[in-house]
Amino acid sequence: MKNDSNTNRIPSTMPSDEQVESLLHEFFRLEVPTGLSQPLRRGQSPTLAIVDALQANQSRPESKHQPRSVRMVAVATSVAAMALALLIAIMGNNSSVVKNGTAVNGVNDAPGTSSVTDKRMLVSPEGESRASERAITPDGVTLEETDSIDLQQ
Amino acid sequence: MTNPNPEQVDGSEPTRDAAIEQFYREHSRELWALFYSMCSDPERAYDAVQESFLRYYDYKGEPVRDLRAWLLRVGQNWLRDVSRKKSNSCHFLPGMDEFSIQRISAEEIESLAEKQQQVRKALSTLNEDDRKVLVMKYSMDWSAAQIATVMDCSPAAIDMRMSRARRRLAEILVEQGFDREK
Repeated sequence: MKNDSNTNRIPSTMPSDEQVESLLHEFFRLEVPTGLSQPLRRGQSPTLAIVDALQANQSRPESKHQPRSVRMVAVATSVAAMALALLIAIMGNNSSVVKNGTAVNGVNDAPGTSSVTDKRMLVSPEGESRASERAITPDGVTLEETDSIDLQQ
Repeated sequence: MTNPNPEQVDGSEPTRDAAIEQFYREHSRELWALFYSMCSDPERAYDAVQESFLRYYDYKGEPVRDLRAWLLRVGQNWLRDVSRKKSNSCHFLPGMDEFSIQRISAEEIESLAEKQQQVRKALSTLNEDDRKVLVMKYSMDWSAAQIATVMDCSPAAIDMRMSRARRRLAEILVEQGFDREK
């Protein structure tokens, strides 16, 4: 009875024994890895290699592997320090003092030095001329008259 | 069936290596079939073969009397460990190299992969002895007598088991809605 019920369950589309045989031949032709016909891999198998790589990564000391944010802060700090050092160096070279809105070059105070003419001055080119009697202030003070004025320190 | 034992070829390291290589050439396919009948995963069975041989390369313990049995036990234990870890197995379609040469379309490859998967699933539904018989017969082309030696029974019993296993496989495939022409 049990066999009958089993037979009834089997549909008419059941493949023949030959068909199953050919299906299995075809299936195993594709299923068998091609690596089996090659010589044994003397290196580690892929699974072992992956496991070892993971273990090596985990066992690496923390000090060698700092977080990215820490490294970013370190780089930013060093860049800022370099910029600050550069700024100080520039300021040291240009030690100009601004007094009463007029720029006076402390380094090139000595008259007759060649660098004086190369420097940019905040005075009119005509101001150099002592002969000029043009008023330089709204009150009519000329350049000659300014010579007698003592600047208070 | 010959069962050369590399341990018996005692001598320098290259001799041992050559003996292992020889043993691999002769037995790797059989070991793969046995591992495959345990896990129904071609790639994993292949890895089990590799693992067992590589462990034997590094083995420095007592001399191994029956290397085939030793490799089988190592591979079986490895398979058990892997299945315990519940790692997701990735089913590659075997023989993909052949397809790239033959320029088979993506649809055909997909259909073939689906068909392979269906047969694999049906095989995994069979009991282990039935599956072992089919795997040995169709992956290695072994005769009933050869299979009988491994399974420790008569060739007639193997023939009967094989016929029954094929029938059962066909039933499972039909239940799964397997379309051979697809």
